[in-house]
Amino acid sequence: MTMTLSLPWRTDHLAPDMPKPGDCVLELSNVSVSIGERAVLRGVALDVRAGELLALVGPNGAGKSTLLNAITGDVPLTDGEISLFGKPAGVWDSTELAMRRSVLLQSVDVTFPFSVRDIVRMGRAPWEGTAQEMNDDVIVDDAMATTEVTALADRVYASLSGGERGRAAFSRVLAQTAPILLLDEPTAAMDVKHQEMLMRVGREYAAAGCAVVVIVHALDAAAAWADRVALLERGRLRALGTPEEVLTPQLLSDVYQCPIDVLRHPDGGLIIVPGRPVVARNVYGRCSVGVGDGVGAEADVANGSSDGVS
Amino acid sequence: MSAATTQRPQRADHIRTNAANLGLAAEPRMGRTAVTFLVMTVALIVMIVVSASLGQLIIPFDQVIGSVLNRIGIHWLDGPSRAFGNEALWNVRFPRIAMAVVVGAALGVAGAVMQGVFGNPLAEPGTVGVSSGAAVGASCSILMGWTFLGSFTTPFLAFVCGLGTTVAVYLLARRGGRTEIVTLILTGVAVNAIAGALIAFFTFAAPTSARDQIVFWQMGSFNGSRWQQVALVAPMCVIGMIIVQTLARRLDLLSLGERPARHLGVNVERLRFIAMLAVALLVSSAVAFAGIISFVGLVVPHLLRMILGPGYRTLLPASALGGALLLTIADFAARTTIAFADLPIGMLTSLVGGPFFFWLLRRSRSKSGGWA
Repeated sequence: MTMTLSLPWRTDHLAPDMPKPGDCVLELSNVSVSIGERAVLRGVALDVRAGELLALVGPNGAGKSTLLNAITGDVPLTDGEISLFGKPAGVWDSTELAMRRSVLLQSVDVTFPFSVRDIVRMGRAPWEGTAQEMNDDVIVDDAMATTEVTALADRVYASLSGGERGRAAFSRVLAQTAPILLLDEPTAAMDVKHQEMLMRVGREYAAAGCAVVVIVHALDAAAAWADRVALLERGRLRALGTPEEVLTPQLLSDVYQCPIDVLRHPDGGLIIVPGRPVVARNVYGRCSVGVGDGVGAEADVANGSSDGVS
Repeated sequence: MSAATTQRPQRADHIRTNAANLGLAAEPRMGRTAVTFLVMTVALIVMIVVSASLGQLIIPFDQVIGSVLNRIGIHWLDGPSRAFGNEALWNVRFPRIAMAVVVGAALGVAGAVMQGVFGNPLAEPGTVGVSSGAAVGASCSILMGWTFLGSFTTPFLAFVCGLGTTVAVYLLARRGGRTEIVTLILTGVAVNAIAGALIAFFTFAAPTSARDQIVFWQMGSFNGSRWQQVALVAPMCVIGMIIVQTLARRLDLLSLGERPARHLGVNVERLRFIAMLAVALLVSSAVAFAGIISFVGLVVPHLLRMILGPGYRTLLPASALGGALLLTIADFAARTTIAFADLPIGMLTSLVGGPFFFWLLRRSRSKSGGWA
């Protein structure tokens, strides 16, 4: 075993070359993770290529976040190997890793009253002392504009709403300008507009030659934006492929243990909805049973009598 | 494609307005930082002159300044006109003030670093047992009457035990090459409890005069500071401050939390160990001669964070300056509040710091964003 002594001010970090589209930038082979006695991931094999947006979906507890944490090195593997840019992840030092992949966690709390601009600027930390540092201001401004937090730049991060924090944190991740983007449920606290904004930015990022791995719960978002979808079930990779291949009613209904319909939008996109019963709607004591387009027969069931208008 | 082309000008606009904002937003904070440093520096110099001037022997301000200038070869103002004026200044007051400045700076910086490392605004050097460890060393030395290093025996043992306790807390909390904040704090609690018991035992076992010494050591005082002592403490503190200043940017990143900091390239474990070691060095050397002085490390960084913002690159030097200023004032008060009595400075800082801290909490909680 060799011990390398790295000084805190070491600056000879190897910056990444921009990958070519289709290059395998992240490869997981037979990755297993156990937390305590419980096997959370079992033999997951996955390759992520430059230029694609890969959506990671699956029910709660399927191991999506653990998989992401394994990729980031926060969770030790019990078996298998993860390689980044063709080398085992352990070869890179922490700064070199930060130059290669940026990570957005589900929620980020900031201890002290840093402004949004301070936070986004922190994303530039891996590039301190490199030639890239010259572009810091432009990159930070651009990242803030892209995620629509420019107006919040001087606000204290901790005073923002959940969705605004999510955008500010995403902005920081973009400012890191790493070729691999790992996002853990980035859209959770966001409104529809910003959910779409985030996925669109993710797509643009992928189109520019980067690789984006995003955990999403909204299956229709995965269907609409992802190049490929990885479906996890109880720690195993159940299916991997294009949205059309993976997001089928049979597979989804089985994995989520809940009836799920997959419809086609006239535009060609997939619409994924849980199979739901038609409920009797109680509106101010008047119950309407929606049928077809929702405008259906009305019946007053408030007290079982039939004195209502008809 | 059309989406991209319609977006581009919009984004350029964003950047342009943003650049304008940047200019507007950056100016006041930089101005504020400069003003804060200037005000604190001036206040510190004024305070040093005032403190040197007043006491049992009153030496007018101009004579204090004159005496300093004479020393460096400028004979512009006259030195002290009274007998023993120069001796009082250079053998008693100046070393004492210098010690207060050095110790205050060390404690201020150490407090700021601890808050950053623990990601908790309530953390202070005492959390990892520096002060209580030092007190164990000091009281043990006093009880045993050891003199293997002459008058430096007690400070030396205080320093070694303070440093050793911190390292012990770190190593005890470490498991599988990693530490967790909660484990560190709880280990600190346990070690502090043991240290408290040892101090109590030493106090109990000591004869009356040694008991007084033990008790007074724990209340802190700059009484009897000498240049020789300052010369020992100052380099340690300077080294400690230089180390933590190199960590400033990484401490900023740590505010995002441990994992996000790691994702940004920070070796969190190494940062934590180096920072704790530097804090132990700063605080152990600060308390070695002066005894325990609490609340400086808690109040000073808080107050300055409110004024300057949380960035450590300015907060650390500002905390040094602020701590120095606070302890110079506190020591002046300790010397002069009651004639012919030298109050324990630790008592004073706690007496003033406690309510002040409470006020700070009330104030910052009522504003958005919680902790300031």
